[in-house]
Amino acid sequence: MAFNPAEIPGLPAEELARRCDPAELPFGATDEIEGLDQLIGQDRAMDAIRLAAEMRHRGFNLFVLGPTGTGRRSAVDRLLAEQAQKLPVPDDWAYVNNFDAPDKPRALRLPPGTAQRLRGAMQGLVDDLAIDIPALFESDEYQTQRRALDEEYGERQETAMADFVEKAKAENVALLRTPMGFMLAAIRDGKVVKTEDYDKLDEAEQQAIDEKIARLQEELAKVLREAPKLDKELRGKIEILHASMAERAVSARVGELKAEFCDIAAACAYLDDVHKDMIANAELFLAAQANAKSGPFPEAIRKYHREPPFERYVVNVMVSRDGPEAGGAPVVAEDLPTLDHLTGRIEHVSQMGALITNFTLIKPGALHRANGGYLVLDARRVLTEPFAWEALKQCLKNRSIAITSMAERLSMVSTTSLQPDPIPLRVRVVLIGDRVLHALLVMLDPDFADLFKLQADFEESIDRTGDTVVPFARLIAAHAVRDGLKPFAAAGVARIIDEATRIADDSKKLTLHLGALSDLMREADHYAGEAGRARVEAEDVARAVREKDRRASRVKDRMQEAVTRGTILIDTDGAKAGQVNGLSVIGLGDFRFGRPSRITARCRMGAGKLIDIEREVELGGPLHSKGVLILAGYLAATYALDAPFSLHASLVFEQSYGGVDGDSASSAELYALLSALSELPVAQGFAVTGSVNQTGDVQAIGGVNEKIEGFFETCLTRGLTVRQGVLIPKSNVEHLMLRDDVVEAARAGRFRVIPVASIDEGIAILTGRAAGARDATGAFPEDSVNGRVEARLREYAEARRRFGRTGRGEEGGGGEGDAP
Amino acid sequence: MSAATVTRRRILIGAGSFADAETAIAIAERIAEAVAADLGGVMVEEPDAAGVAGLHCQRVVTSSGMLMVAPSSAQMRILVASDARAFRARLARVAEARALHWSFERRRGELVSGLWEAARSWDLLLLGHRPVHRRRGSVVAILPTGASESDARALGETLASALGTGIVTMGPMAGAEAEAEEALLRRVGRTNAAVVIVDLAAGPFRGPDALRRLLDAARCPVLVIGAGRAPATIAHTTQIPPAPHEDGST
Repeated sequence: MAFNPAEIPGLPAEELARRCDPAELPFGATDEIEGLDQLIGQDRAMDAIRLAAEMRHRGFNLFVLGPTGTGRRSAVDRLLAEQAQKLPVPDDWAYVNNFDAPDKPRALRLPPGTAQRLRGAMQGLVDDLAIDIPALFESDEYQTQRRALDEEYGERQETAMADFVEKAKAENVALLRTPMGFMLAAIRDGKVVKTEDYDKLDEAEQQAIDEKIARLQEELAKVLREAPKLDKELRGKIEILHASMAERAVSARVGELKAEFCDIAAACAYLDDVHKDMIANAELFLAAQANAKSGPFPEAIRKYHREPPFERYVVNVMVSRDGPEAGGAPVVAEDLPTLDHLTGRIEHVSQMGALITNFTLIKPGALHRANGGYLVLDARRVLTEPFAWEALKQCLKNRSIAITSMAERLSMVSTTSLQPDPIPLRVRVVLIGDRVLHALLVMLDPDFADLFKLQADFEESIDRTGDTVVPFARLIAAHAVRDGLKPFAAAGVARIIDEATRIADDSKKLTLHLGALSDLMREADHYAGEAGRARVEAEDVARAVREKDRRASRVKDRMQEAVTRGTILIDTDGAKAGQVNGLSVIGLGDFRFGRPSRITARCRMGAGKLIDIEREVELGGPLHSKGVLILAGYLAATYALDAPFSLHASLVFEQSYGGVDGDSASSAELYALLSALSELPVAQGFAVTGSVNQTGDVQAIGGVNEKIEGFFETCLTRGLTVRQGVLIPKSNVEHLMLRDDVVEAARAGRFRVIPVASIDEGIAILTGRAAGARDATGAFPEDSVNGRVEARLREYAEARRRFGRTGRGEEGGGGEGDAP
Repeated sequence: MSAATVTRRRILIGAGSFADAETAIAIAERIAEAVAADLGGVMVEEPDAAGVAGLHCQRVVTSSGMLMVAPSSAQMRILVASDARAFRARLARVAEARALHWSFERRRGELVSGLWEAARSWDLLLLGHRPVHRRRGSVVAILPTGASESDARALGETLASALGTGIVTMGPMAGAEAEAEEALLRRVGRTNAAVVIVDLAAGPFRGPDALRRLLDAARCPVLVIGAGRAPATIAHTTQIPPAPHEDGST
């Protein structure tokens, strides 16, 4: 009986693509319906985000995972903003000087809106005291007291010296000045007793002179040694005087501030410290006034608080809110999450060749700004920034923000640094990333699971049902409004829905890659504008789809050209044994296309070896090798079970030099092998896709639409016959969403898509011969495909046995034919 | 007096050591800022100090109250020479910074007597004395009996303003001259003075002996006005020229 592939029925056209009927949409255009601003089909993820936003316990930070373009970021922003409004405004934070240990700045926690006020108040305090204190020290009261002290102590020393001089004079001893100091000399008859005069004196007189000189020397030394003590005593008295003068000025002004901030304990405590320090360092204000007199500007407008000596009174505001009425907790997104941007940094300035710092050079980071609220980060960016991830984890674990510099961590800089008080941290961190990153973190980072207990897994698609199509249309309407596009007619919306199904690679689904659909809508809007339409129609959307494919299909077209010109050998008619058209998908970015490949099988007697030539030359990936091994297992377990497996076969993808992976062609390879073994030719008008398991079931594969369309284009270029089509796994039928030209060709009976569920089913279609099933005796029908394959394998086994007995002729020696 | 007719005042600084001279030079610098001045320096090596240094009981009491072994005569000469060089260099630096004429000489003999003669051609004589403590004192102007205004007071006020201190005026109390001078010296000796200003012409201190006593009592630099009008006791030297006549001839 002649085999006619044209008689083999394919799927009806209606099953090759699920088209949305515009008439079923309850609107004429999108401007007639209310847009849907929320996501659909993401309930699982949205619930997780809501939980993360509302949960107040620590450790429930969130990782948002899923593909880009599914609206992850906008959903996070919206939900966090909603929840943040319900939370109280967090406190302000500032760093102030630690007067006792300047290298350990103190963190000041203040009610919202207070930090800036305190900073301004301190600036005013410094400016006021820079005028008040000098005025007080120029007052008659101070000058009089100071003069009195100077005179008192001056006179005390002078009196002591005068008394000594008079005493010395009374004992006839003169005080001489020499380059080294004072010397005492006896006076006799109004003249100094020199050495030669002394030698002439009798012993008693000499002794008397020696005694009084020595005694008076001691007394003079004692008087002179008193001077530093008196100096110290005077300094102490002057300090007390200064303190009392400064205290009056400082107390008055600081008292005003304390009254202003009386209800804030932290501010009052700080002002107490400022009070003490200003009194102890009143000379700063005197020095500033002295400098001011030499400056070009009148004193009245001089900003003393900006001068370096008064940096010690700066309030370094780290975070400031607008006040309790500002409305909610912060939601901060840090787009460049470096270590410094996250945790803040301590800057340094160069002075005299050294790097120095102080508390005014502490700068806040995103964690400071987000404290009390939410922080949104891109996971990949955090992980690629040196030390950022570790710092973030450390802050979350310790519940405080510790500022460290990268140079310090690398021990690259040896300079003065600070140990500021850590600021308590209460923040919810939301990381947005892809699934691979999430999986790696879960597997490899022991801290991750403890710190990020929640995950919001965004779906890639949603079921396409009557309940979801209209909300999806409303989503399209919202995007049109958001992007300022023309309204989409119902037909245009229907076309986009179809495209959403196509992108989802499943006729029962709608993609949730809204980014891709938005791009399509924008391009369609442009074409509608070109055509002068007020609404975007189906043809505009179709054109956008076509043009997008066309822009990306140069490589596909060149490959197709090579097939058409016969450079790449692909048969699309006739029949050949041991040769099948396989199908593969090539992806370039978001563009995928299918292309046929010739798969050939050759076999002979051997030792049960099935050679995958792709694997032998390392062009086959592991999944491809797995597929080949599976089909080898099928062969070995299906045929001639009572004989040694004595096949030597080779399989190859002809003219394929770029590497092959995946097992979607394993059924095609098996068909080629069965054809070669049975010597039954395979119809070349068919292409085959589908993976096979060891029991002969044909399993679903990916990219079914692109594969079918790839072979269709090859056939179309040569002219469609009625004997062409593609065998696909039955389980892939519901994934079909083919182009209109393929559907129309199928409807006209010029091309077929044939679902198969088993190898037997497929080989029967390809060879036109029944596969055959074992009868009660366990034998296949003799002329069936299986029967012929089994017969061939038995022949190989018998031939191998004969060679083994006679021991001649086999290459490689006799060991190969021995029984296992 | 108009700016065009400001008279250059000539100041002679005399001291027996650099420590004494340094304080005086600082004061002379302040005076020079107020009035244009020529500067002169005289380092007087007093033989008394060298003469008593060799006594076996002799020790030097430093300004800080330390007792040190007295230098030998040879060491004393070296120290005096070194002080003279330092005095000269310091004087030169101050003068050249202000584009002033300056001169320097070394002498040997009693300090006040030697300077008394040397100062005849100078407007002001500044006798140096090292400070015995660091507290800045007032400018003390010695006025003659019953006088409220004098050159000493005027110069004292200028100097007090330049030094940033106050001025105290003193004069002899009523009574016999000797007792009055003694009382005045006691008062001066117990006053913390930065400099004592006296006008020889106005009194009450007129001769070198009185000046010596005043210097010993003040224990601070003494600025003498009118030293050039004092009677001469020695001839001029080539280094210390005589005062020019009014017509500018020497």
